[in-house]
Amino acid sequence: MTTPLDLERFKALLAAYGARPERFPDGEREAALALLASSEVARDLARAEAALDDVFALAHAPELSPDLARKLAELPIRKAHPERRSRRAAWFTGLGWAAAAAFGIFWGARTEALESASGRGESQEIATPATTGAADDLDEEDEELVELALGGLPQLSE
Amino acid sequence: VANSELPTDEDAELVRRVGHGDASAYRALVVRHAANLQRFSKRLLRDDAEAEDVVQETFLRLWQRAAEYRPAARVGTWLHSIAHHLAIDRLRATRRLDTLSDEDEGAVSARQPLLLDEKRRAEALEVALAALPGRQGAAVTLVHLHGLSGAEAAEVLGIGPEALESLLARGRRALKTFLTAPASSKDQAP
Repeated sequence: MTTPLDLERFKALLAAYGARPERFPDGEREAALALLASSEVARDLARAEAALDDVFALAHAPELSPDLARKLAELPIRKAHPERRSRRAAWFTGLGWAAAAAFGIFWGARTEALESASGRGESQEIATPATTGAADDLDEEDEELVELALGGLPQLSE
Repeated sequence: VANSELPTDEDAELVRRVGHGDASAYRALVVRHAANLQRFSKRLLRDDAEAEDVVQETFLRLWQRAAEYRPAARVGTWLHSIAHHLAIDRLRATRRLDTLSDEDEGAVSARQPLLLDEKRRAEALEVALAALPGRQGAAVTLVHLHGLSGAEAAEVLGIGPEALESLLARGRRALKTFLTAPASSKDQAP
């Protein structure tokens, strides 16, 4: 059951929205239609207001200026889409993580080799890659690991 | 094109695709909404070049921020809101916010042309709308030409429903005065 609409409020609705009930606020449309159905005065008021609605119906559809239409059409070419940018950023982030992982593997392997060399008592001094054969072997191994880590990454197209 | 006449589900789907970088969906939204946004922006700014800039900025936002769209508002309402904010920013930056004032209502009613046929009435409507104070013209354009509901238009303009009804009523009254020539002036008109 809708609350009845008084004539004053109906006039206010007509003044703002015109005589087309579909323009009325949702909560008052039904009551306005009921008033229209029951009141000759309401119908007269609506008829008087309908003339302007008829003029609105005659309004020309706006046309986009050709220059603006061209600029708008070119916009996706001129301005990168954020998803594309984030994809690119993801590649760089991935590359960064891969490089960090490769470095970690390299460093871990090196430390392990040094510790095992030290444990065997082959040298009491801190071994360096330049002075030990084991370190030379590790270098080759490390390079392979780095290649493995980075080789799996797709190439950046841009 | 009236906003209410556009299939809104299609609009929402197009925006979703724009969010994934689909340029053809973006262009479809340009075709559907750009002309209305240009007309609306011009009502507020009263300047063709600035209105075009606002439309470009609105669609740039669409292109770059479509993923932020939430279907709580219709796409047309959302785009009009963006354009409104951009236009207000421009008016504020150039100290022209007072041009939106409703005080020059007399400017419209002062002119009362003879209206003979539909073509002339449509032309006169454009002239009268352009002469309306900024907010009145924007409110009337949103509701009576672009088909937004009162609630949607109030949301776009950032005002309450009562304030919107007041703008609409004053705008319509001024337009009626302009478009309805009294018998005496009809006799004198060329």
